Amino acid sequence: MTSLLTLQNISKSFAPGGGNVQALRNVSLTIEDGSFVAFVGASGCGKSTLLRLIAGLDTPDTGNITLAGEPVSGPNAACGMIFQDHRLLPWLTVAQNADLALTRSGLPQAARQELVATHLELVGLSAFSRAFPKELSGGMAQRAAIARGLVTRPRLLLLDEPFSALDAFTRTRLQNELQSIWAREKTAMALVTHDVEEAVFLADRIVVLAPHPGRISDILRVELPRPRQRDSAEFIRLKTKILRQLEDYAEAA
Amino acid sequence: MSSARAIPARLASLGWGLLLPVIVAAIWQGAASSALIDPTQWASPVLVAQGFVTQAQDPQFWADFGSSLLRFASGTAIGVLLGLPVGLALGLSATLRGYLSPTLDATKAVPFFTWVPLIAVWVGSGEAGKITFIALASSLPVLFNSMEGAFSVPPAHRELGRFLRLGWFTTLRRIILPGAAPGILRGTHMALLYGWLATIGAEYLFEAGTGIGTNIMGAREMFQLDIVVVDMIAIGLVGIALDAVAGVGEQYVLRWQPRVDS
Repeated sequence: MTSLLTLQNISKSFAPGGGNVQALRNVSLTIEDGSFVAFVGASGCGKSTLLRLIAGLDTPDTGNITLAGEPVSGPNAACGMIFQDHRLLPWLTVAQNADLALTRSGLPQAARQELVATHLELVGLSAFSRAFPKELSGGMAQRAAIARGLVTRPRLLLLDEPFSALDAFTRTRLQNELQSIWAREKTAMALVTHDVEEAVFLADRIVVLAPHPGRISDILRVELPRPRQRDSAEFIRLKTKILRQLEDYAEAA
Repeated sequence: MSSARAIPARLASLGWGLLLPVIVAAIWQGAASSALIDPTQWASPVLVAQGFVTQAQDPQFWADFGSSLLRFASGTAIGVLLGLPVGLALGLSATLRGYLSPTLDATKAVPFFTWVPLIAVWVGSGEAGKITFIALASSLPVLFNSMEGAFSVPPAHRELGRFLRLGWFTTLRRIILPGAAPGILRGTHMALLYGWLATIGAEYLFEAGTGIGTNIMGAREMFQLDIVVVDMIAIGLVGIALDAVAGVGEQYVLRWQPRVDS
């Protein structure tokens, strides 16, 4: 496998109200094509900042980000993103929302329509292509957002706490669906979450971040066969281990 | 959707709402018939009804009516087309707001009828002055409401546009304009009503020409009070029609909005 994303010594500070807060310090990491990486950590560990830097929505103070062989200097086609709020435009239908992501694709109308239809089917929303977001439940809205994120066929899909606003039952179901979408599409995914179970269920590698300043404290490889059994002893052992680490940081803070 | 149920309910409430005008008309007619009031000074519902027939057959009335509608349409169109881009630009740019907001707030505080003398001197008291006045009156509500509309577009939506690399035109068309649409439509709705108000006002306050306002003034000079009332009712009906059209337009364009249950 070739490395798709390279982060080299990334640091980023913010200056809220005159003060200076270091959100990330010296973060280095590579993500391989087709792999699934999860970032977990308490609030203040800079995990969302990290995704925004990869997405090109912010620029790091120091360090380099290379995605698909190109230095990241702004939003680009190699990257798709699922935001915490589904961020569908309420005045566009589900299909129009997905199609909006193809604005810069340069594809003819027919090809765009076909891509949209394929991806709405992938997330099980074919019957709702002409619905407005107000007609969707929270879980359906987030599935529509996944379709929009994947419709451009990005090399890397960034997911920023995508299921945190959903009820437990819907969340579990969407995790299962995301797992099968990833297995089928082989799109590399980088997931930010504070839900450790979600990380263990989905990821090949879990990057544990420590807060103040945000930095990588540990990287764990998850070797469990997929689809993973949430109640297996090994699953629970791994989950507990990560939770302990996070608790230690929470106590230290 | 409750609109199917809302229509009979509305008719029912309209029925009760008609009670007062009917009572007023009955007392009015009674007073006029029993010579308690002088019908030449107070007209009467019967005279007004006859006035409708007179006016409907008078080509002068229709010419005046048409001339007012045309004046209203051109003035209001200019007002909306000027107010909309300025309002959007102000809503999107904090810098621009910093420069212009104090001046605009001061303008807002001045009732627009006080502009009449200045407009008459600068643009003239004829057609150009009237249209300028109508454009001014209708541009302000569009400007302020579009500004508020553009200002209220969530930063998250603008960021999505940046992430999807939409470019300024698609961002404007797909994100800013629809996001600002509730404000733009509210402003346009008000502009239609203000524009109609200003049309009649301009016909009263600027030099006499054609128009329903001039028609009223003429009838008053001739002491045809029944015709005055007929013209007033015609003006009111146009206002009601504009209000209804704007309301339906808003509902249609904003059909994506979640219903707010009160």
